[in-house]
Amino acid sequence: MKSFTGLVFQKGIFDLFKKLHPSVKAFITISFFIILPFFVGPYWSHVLGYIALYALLGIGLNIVVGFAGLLDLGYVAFFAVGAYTYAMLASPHFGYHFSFWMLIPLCLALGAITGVLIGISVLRMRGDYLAIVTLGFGEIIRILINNMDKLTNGPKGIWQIDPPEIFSHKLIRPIEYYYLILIFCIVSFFIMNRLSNSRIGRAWIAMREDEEAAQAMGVDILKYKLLAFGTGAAFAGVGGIIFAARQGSIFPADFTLMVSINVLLIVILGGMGSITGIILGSFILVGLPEVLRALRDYRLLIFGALLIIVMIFRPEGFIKARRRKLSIKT
Amino acid sequence: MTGKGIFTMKRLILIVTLISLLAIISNSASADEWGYIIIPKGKSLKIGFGAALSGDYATLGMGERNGVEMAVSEKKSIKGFPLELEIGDDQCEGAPSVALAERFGADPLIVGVIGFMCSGGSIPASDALNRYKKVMISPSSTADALTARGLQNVFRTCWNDRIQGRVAAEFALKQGWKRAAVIHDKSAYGQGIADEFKSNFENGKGSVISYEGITRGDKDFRAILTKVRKKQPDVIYFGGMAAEGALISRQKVDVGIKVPMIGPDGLHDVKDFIEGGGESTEGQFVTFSKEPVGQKYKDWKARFEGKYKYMGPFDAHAYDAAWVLMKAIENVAIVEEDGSLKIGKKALADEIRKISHDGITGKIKFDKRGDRVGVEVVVKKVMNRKFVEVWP
Amino acid sequence: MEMELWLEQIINGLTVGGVYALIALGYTMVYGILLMINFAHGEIFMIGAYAGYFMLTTLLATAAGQFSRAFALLLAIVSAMIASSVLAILLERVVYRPLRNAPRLAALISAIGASIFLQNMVLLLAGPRMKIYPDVFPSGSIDLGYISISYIRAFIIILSIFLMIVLYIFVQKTKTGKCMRAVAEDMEAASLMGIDVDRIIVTTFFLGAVMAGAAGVMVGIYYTQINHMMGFIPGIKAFTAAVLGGIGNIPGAMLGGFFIGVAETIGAQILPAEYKDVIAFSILVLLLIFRPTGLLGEVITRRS
Repeated sequence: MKSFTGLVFQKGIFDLFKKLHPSVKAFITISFFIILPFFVGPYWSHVLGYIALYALLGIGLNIVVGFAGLLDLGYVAFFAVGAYTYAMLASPHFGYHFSFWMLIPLCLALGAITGVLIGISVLRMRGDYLAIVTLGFGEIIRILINNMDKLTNGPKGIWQIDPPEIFSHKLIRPIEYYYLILIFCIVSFFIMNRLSNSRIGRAWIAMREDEEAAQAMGVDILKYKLLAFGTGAAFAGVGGIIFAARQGSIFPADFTLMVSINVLLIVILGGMGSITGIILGSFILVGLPEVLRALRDYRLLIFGALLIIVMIFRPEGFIKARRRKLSIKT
Repeated sequence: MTGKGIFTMKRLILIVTLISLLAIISNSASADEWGYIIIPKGKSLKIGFGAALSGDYATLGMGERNGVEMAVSEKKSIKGFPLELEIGDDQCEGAPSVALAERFGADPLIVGVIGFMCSGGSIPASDALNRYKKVMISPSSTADALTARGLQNVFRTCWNDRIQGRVAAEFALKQGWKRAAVIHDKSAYGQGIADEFKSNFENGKGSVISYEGITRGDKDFRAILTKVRKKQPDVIYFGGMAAEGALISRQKVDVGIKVPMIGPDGLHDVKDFIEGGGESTEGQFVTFSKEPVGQKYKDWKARFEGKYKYMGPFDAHAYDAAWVLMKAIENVAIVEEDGSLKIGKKALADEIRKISHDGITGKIKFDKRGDRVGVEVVVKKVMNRKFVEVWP
Repeated sequence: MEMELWLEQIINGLTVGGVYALIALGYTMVYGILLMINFAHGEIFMIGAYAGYFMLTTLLATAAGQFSRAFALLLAIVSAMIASSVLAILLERVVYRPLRNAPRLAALISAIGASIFLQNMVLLLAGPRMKIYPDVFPSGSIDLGYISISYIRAFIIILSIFLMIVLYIFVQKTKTGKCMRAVAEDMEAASLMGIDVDRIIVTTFFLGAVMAGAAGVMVGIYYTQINHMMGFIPGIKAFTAAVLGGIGNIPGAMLGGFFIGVAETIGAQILPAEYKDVIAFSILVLLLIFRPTGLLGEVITRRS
């Protein structure tokens, strides 16, 4: 943490960093995150793992909210689908013990399918109507998981979920999880970067800026909306499987509306659309409450106040995406 | 590209130091299978504590904190090493409880943990603490699953849910009640107990005529109660907490249900249940552990209430858990020649397993699983705004 | 017998719905003007409940309060309205006004921040333990032939409908109400016509908070228990009600509130009660799929 804040505040280094070639920048950033856990010990490695997990979810939601402009408050639903799929197929609950690596494509696919299905039903909605309906879907899925006891063991949750294995070495230490999630994050950032500069990414952004105009220019709104929902949800499905494997036991109470709100906060605090923004957003949202633990009872009070202050002074988030800067103010 | 050199150099140095550190640790830790906790001279010995200190269940958590704080402030030190309590908010949920467990586990000065509050947090957190081989004693996680998984580092000073459901069912059958309507709050706790009640009640030839869930935090249960009334039960069993229990007690009168209600320890709260439910709670039943008798308990209660004003249902269990842990640490800790304190992790867990402590909540002993033995669960009836033991 | 049961469940639903509707009004009015979800509105409702509680317990401790419980209750409702509206105006000034021209999501985030802040402020000030409202209402009920309604329930249904009618008349008939509608229609044009937009926005927050404050006390005396988290679930439900009725539309919010309340209780009668919320949200989803602007909502032309 210390070295990170140091980096932000030493403007000279920061400016120098900005001038570097993107691939060098990426290399330095990645190396930084690789060595980071060595400085902070297992507890902070664990927190770093959470931060990285939320960054992964942030990338996914950013596609839906940041790129395509669809305000989704039920993102936790896809996260839950991924987590429960893995929990049911890799624990003593049903007695199946499929491998983590085998189930990743399945969780990804199921996440995406759920996303597309929800996408189909909300195609005609906009703005806040969309927000509340997706919120409703998120709640419906959580309550269904809680109520379908035979399938999900209801509120008692599923325990003793298998950890991922690499050559029969079980990944259980916080630092191992951190690296696992980091790999997923790096791959996801790469995908996101490619997407944002692709035909699809441009179509999403056009759609976000003006749906009618985009349609008039030949963007197939139906297709791209569903694609956004599906892609975003796929990330959450993967996030879910990692979460389940890491927790070792999961409960419906892990998948409340607050998860969706937290991920949304990450995307918006970071500034929507930029990778640095998402990393920063996850540090603030997941890391800061841990730092604030020292304040005991005042922790959430101060956290709430900080959210307000940050938004008043940086209403566009910490880091504006390049394309955002160019676009008309919404 | 100058960055590359620096980074690899740093990493190299780090790896070397890490390996040597590991070697040192593994070398010194040969006698105890699980390794040792070493408290250097001049440092304090820390105890971790996790419970919900924010959100809906903050009352319960803050009460437990009071209990633990009181115990630690009485003991003050172990073998000359001052005690320090490290308090964390587990939010009564899985993810924050695991985060806390990782923090407690990684902190070299933390010897053991009192917590966590809710079963949903204690279960995943116990896996995390088990990796560090540190012991935890939960004052209030009653779910069967906590101790059913064969972990060696987990204990609890409260009881296992199975006992409560069984006692309530036996009591109901004894009263000649044949038709029970079961309502639970769809939480691991509430539904777990309701399930135990249901299976025991049905085994005893009673019939469960309806079995439905409500949502925690809701305030209006008239719809479900109106529905239950039509089925004409002899008794209502409610698996859940005092807030909802008090409302059900009130609202069942409103919709015209006259039969009594039985609930678990979650309802055993004078303020939230009896005051919250008012007149309507007269004659309702609650299962709870047998109230300790004798002057010791009375004195303690007076002292606790003098200090913190109000005593919650698990505050005494938290107090006892802290004492059990501190006592066990004292029994196994060894002061080394260099003045540091050495505690064998496995030795500590074994010590707790065989400890016999005269606690505020009665004699504390654990079975192999880490469940408390000899917990006597009784049925209490609300009479004149007090919980009075009526059975057995 | 059957008939009675259904009637009873509908009355159950109307009482719940009355509370949802009163809270939903605040969401819908603010949204109508600022196109912003005031996420902290549930907390405004919660503050009202606490203010009413402290007023009521203080008054009942004195002889005068014991003498006239109706008077004490009235004062409690008034003080809740005052506390809620002061808070709402403060929120508007401190949290929302600086963000009026910022991206809409920024306002949403700061509203969430305000909500977290207020919950924890009350937790610290009033303690974590739930507060129990004193019983002020005589028990007993009005006999309506088939069924009977307790006094307290009749009071809640009547008071909520009364407040809604007052609000509706205010918005439709008074000059300020007219200004509110003008600002909702087009803020810039309204300000060109000489309307003090800031004042109208404050008035809107004020009116929504008055309704929420009253709802807070009503929940207090009806359900008897309040705590710092009590605003969250009713807040979400009320927002759902506002959207269901067509957000920005005042009669829509009332209709939506009652609709959700009744749907929940009828749903709990037909299906296992644990599916109550699934039913509420499913109705919302289905309705919006076929009527994307809600029950009474107009087709919104997008503003940019």
